[in-house]
Amino acid sequence: MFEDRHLLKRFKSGSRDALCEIYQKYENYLLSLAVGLLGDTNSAEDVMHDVFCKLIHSKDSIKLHGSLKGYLGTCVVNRARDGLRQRKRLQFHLEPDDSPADDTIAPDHSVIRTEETRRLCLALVQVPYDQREVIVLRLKGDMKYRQIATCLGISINTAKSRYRYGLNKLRSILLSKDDLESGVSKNETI
Amino acid sequence: MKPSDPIEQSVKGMDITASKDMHDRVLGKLLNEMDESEQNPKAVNRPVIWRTIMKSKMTKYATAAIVIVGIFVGLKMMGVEPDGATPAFGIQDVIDAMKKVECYHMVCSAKNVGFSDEETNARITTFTSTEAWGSIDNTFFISKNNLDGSIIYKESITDCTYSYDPKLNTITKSYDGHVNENISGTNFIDSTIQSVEKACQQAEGTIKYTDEILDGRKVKVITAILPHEIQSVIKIYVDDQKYRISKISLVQTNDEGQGGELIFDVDYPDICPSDIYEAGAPRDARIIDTYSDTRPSDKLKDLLEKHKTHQNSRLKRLTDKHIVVKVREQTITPTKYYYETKIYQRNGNHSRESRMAKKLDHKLVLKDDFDYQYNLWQSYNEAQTVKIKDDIYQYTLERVADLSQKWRLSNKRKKSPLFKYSADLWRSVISSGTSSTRIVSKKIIEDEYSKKHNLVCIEIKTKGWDDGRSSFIELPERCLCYLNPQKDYLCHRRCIIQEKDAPWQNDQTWLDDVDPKRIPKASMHVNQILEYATTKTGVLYARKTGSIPYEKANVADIDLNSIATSTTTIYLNENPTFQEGIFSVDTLIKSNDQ
Repeated sequence: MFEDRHLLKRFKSGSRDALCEIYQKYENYLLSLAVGLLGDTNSAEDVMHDVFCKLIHSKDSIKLHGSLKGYLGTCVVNRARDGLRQRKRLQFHLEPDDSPADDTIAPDHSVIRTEETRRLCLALVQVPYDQREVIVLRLKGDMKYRQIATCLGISINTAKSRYRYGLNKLRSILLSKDDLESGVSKNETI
Repeated sequence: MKPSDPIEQSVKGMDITASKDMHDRVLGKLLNEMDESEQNPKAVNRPVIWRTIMKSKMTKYATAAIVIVGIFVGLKMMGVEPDGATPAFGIQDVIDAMKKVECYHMVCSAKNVGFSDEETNARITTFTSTEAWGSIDNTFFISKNNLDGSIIYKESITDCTYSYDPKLNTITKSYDGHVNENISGTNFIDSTIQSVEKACQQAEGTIKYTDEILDGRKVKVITAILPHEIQSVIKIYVDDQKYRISKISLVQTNDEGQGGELIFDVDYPDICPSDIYEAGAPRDARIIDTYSDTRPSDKLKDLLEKHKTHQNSRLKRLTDKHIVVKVREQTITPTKYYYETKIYQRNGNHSRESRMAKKLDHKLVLKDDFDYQYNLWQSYNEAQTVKIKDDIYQYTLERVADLSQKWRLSNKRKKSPLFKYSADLWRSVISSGTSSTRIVSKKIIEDEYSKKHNLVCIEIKTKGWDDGRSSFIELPERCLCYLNPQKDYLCHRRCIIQEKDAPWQNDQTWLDDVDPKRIPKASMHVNQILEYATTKTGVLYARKTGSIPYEKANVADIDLNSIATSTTTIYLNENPTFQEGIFSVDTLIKSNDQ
């Protein structure tokens, strides 16, 4: 907490290094939230960019009442919801990777690094958004129900029930047929 | 305790990490934003409160002294409300005064110090025999031990550290930079702040301002009392007229009553030693340059420059009217195949990028022809994302994933970066994204493969790294980049070997406390250009690149195209005819109605 407040102070006074440190520190955490919420690495990247841009442009007026991590996490949630208002459903996109991929962990990492994560992301986007929010905030955002409730503007009981229903939905999706296969016929030749 | 749900565990363990490209891309844009938003020069806010927290043990006092000096030169303070009336002078006055200082000289002494362990006592003895010089902006720092005669001279401009050993009469020159491992960053102020942060934890204390007489002269005293597991009292004596720090006193006492006082007397000479010899090292001391491998030789620098400029070898040098289709095929398992296609279309200041990915249970048989590939991927009409750029904006459109498959404008942004073409292995040589402190050596070597194929091999060894946050640590790595002098020094092959027990990882115990799940498997990974091509305008490029099983990488007679597990192929049209409205967002949206 102390470190963050100090970082923020430096950032507010115009330190580029502080901005880099803040970004470096919370990059993966925020990216996890954004990808979990949106199921789309491109959109997640846009959300990250927008959140930090807003931070930059409003740095003089920011007053942190809680933690910087929580503040940025809430910004990601809000921004993701804004972006989602322009869409009805989500598609899952793979991270563009200019270097050839490999089954082992290659030096140029993709954002979504394992098949299991990919599978989970695909399943997660099929969970209703309000339930997905709670799941992601609880499991990837390490938030307690009280914090989630505050962030989303709902009651604690609502947060808990959304979490429960969302988890059940996720479970049923994962147990059903694999949604990764596309619809190309086996007999198709080109 | 209720057992954890496996689904919960899976979601919690989802491995999502920003790629280097994304990291560089986003951070670069943010820094530009920040630059543009800066209307005025940086202003040092007058610190109203000060909560400098010290969890520094007695053995870190030397660092702490430097930190204290740094604190008063631009450190943004958080802290405790002053106890008592508002002082006639404040920390800002000290900051302003210290900013004008060019260099300082500090001598350490101790009072009533006593610990039960010999090691602590020995280290304190070392400190109290030390005097130091330094510049406030950290361009240099000198530490001299008057007990044994050793000297350390650190020069930030050249990033060199010189260490004089009087017993061996040697001066060891190193390039890994900082005398204090806790200090990073180019600015002394920021680096001392980082040092404080690492040494501190939150505590509540008090601060007082008083006037005192010291050695017969008036001084202002700032006293910070920090109660914690180790009671600390920091007193900073400031010249009454000039507001420069003249003395720092650090008193600490632990629960067992052990501790004492360290004193740093500070003065400001007009001239400081300018090198290690002026600091006292003899000129006949033998120089040992132990880290020359991290500095590229002239030959290597020249080679890297050639690779970097590669006048004729960049797809970005294509004329501003072209279409690039980039198709990646990957064999994931014997029954699973992955295809990813990007289509870049450019006409002057307008451009369009579309992307699609498919996973199939059979291999597609594709023709090696631009028209075929372009029409194929266009006809699939399964692009999920399209980005269109004009002079000002970049628009991102996405498919709605229902039966309608309509397009929706999801984002609109200014100043977007150029689309990336990367069809070769440039990045492996130019920028590995590895900080210089991790690079152990970087040099030209010759091996069987480079000799056989008349290539120039650059070997880069890096140490492993654990930032404590990522899902996986980064293993030590040996990277071999084979540049092709016959092809504008394009990187023909890149071979990367990662293993945790690499001999150049000095500290072989670095993984002892790491969760084994965060340690990736050793890997060997080879990327190679399988086919070169030249455009009509003379741009040489890697038309086809592939990932090759390492065990087969040295077998020259095998058809490399057939054994590659993943290939990326570029198809070009340098004088295309574009469909009407291809760069129009409205056209794409209107297509929803068709």
